[in-house]
Amino acid sequence: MTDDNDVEEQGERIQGLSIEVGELFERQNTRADNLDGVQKEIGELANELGVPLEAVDTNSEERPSQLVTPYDLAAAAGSLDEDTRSKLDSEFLSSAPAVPPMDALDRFIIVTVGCMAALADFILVGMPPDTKWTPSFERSVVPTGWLSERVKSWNVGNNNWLARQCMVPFDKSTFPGTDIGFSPFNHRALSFGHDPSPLGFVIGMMDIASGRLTGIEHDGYFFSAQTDVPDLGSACLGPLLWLGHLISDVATPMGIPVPGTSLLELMQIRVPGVRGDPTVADVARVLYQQGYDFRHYLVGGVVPALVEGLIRLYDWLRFSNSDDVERDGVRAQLAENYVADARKNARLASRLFWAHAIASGANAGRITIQAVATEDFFSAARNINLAEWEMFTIRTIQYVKALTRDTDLDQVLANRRKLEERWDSLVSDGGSAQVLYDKPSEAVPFKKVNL
Amino acid sequence: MRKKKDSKLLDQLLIKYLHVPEDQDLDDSTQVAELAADWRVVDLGIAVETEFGVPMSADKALSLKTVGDWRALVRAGSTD
Repeated sequence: MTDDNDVEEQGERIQGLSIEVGELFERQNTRADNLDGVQKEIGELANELGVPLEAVDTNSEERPSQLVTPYDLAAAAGSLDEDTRSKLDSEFLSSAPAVPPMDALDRFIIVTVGCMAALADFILVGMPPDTKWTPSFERSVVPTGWLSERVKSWNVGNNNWLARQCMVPFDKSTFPGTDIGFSPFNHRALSFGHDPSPLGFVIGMMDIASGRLTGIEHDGYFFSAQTDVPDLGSACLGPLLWLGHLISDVATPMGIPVPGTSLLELMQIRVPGVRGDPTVADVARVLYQQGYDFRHYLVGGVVPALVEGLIRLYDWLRFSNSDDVERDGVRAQLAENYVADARKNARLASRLFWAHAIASGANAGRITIQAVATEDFFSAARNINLAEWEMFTIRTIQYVKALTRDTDLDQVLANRRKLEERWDSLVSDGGSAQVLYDKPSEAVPFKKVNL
Repeated sequence: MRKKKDSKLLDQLLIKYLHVPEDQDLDDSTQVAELAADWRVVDLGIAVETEFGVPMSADKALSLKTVGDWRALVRAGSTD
């Protein structure tokens, strides 16, 4: 079945090529007729002027004397040996890769940027500064991040001016007489309204409008408690109150949790291999208690920002003035533009992917080193650069999309260019068909990195 | 009266945060490290500070080796 499909596919390709060659042959004939007409006129003009003319007559043997039909070409293709056919296949069916290949300069820049990002991750981001709920480890290897320490050293009190202006019902930190496990050290991780994400915003709005607190108990059970009377005025100012309250909390000693914490708190899934059987929700809460808050997340953003900035700058500097993209004004301009843009995006996606892969790999190494040194899961987990891993995930998806994109149009354009180059060679060589089989030195399969 | 209440509440916290089976006897010599992982002991410390107002930290919580140490700490904190 597969062989039948292959034969059918090969036949269709040969037929397509035959039709193209037939069209080219017709164009050649037209040009030859034009040349004959010009030669005839020159002869007549010479006779009228009485000028002897010894024009080199076109030798009929030098001109294509036989019309190549699709059947002839098919027969010729059928008689080609396997090696030649595979060469033709690779040249005309797979010479336009989905992602433009990297050259030495690309590799050098990617490795350099990746190493710089790894260094920034180790020195600037490092471990979040300890809170009083962070156990001490004698054999800790990774230092506290320089930038993270500077950012978190700037503190305001919990009862600051903005907090007093933007009081919200989801800010209740203790529930005496209950066993839901809220405390001033974890209530922001357990209440959804404190999550600086779209989900946190939506639930925060609902809480403000209804005067409630929605969250997760320490044991992982969902709960919603009335903490205030519903207030229409507060509901109207909801977005401002929510934003103002989060800003008032962000620089307090415990800070606010990282974006998406409310989703993590909903994930009551056991993390295997860790003593005490913590769930994903437990891990998110404990990391927050140990100092992994929104400020450290923002500082972690330095690493993906460095990679994105430098790789995009390099791409812009190297390729923005590139005029090698043949955007023909008459023929198939849309196709040329489409392919040029698709290849440009694929090239950038691949460079970003590999640079982020190095940075993320280095972060994974940092996590492993700390895990081996302290033998503590949470100490190792505090080394995760969440912002970098999020960006790496996005770039991986984009890279896979670039690798699996449809390249038929790229191949068609590459083949057309090759045919035109061969055709020019054919014309300049006086019609000898030999040039069809000799690869012109300037005819590269596809102009890499230039599209 | 106050001390009796505190003792009962502490036992409830021990059971809840260290995930101790309710039928298990918690005598003063019970080793906390054998009952639960470090992170659960720190969670207990947070609960104790919140409920009893006893100043705690992760290192202090982990330094209390037995259930008796926790009871003594709460007793001392309650009488302060």
